[in-house]
Amino acid sequence: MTTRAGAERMHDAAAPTPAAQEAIWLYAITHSRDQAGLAGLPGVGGGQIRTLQSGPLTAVVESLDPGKFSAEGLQGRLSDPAELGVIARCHHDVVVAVAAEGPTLPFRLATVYVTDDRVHSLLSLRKDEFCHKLDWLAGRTECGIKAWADPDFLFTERGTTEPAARGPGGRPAGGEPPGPAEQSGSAYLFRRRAELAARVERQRLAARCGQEIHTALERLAAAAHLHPTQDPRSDGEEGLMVLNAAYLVESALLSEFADAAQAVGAEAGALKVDVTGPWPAYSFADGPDA
Amino acid sequence: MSAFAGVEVAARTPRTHVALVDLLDRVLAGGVVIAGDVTLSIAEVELVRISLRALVVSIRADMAAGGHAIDEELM
Repeated sequence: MTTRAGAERMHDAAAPTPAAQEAIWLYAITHSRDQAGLAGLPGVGGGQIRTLQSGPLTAVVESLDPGKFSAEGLQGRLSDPAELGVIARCHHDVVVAVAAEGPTLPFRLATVYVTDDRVHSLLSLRKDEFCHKLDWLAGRTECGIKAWADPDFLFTERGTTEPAARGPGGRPAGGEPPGPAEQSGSAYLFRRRAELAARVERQRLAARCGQEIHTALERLAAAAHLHPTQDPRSDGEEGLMVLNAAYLVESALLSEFADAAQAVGAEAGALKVDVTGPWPAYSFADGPDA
Repeated sequence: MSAFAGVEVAARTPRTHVALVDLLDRVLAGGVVIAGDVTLSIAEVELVRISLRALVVSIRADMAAGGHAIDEELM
């Protein structure tokens, strides 16, 4: 990555300064020149989506109004949650349309060049790398898997901690209720220690549940990528999210993969497994050598 | 803010019904990265890449605090 960035910079230094400032939004790279599916799609700037060819590669781009899309203007739009949502969906809709025509490498949101020439340079400079990645993605698709678990359930069903940590308030299972003499410092410390041990155990079991699902699904996929788990408030789900991952799977085996995810989730004691996608291969743009 | 480039947000009904939170996981952290996380002025450098990870964190914090603006976008 460092080497590549370095080469890019050297190239930048040698390139002539563009005469007029434009802003070219990059959506994706693909092989297919026929992009009829893009007709009528609203771009992020309300402009026309078009393609740039270079050898075997096609870049899907949009010219933005440089007046409306200065660096500061763009930053401002992206900083507004509502506008970010609209931009992300516009970007996604275009990438989905491109991916319907063949293997597609999406660009990260807000990748902007200043001229078409710069895009052409990028395509020719990194042709081999992009072709290699597109070949790898052919016939495959990204499947999202999210899993939630109830740590209390896992603790009850699968906990391995000694009974002292299990009873309500840390009371040893089957033991005598604490007498007045035990409502003292040592009893309190004992209870607190048991509560802490139980909390750690719940976290460990939740993490293990997610790991079990991931390990099983990773074996069925060409590649896997772990996303950070999402804030529980952001999707209104019950339980604790224990897995937020993407898997690159053969498109023809997508439904089998989804079934496997449900089965593996149930086996691991998950509360719920959500399957999303098929997605364009956003999570696998680093290619097979990542 | 309801307008973007002269188009009402409401007029742009999502054609793909994906949860925004899942989409942001992908478009902000995935995809081909051209030159790393550099925030630069267009006038000086030809390439602009804006890192947005911190922004997502702030959006999620807003939502946790009871923000309603994008709640319906989420499902």
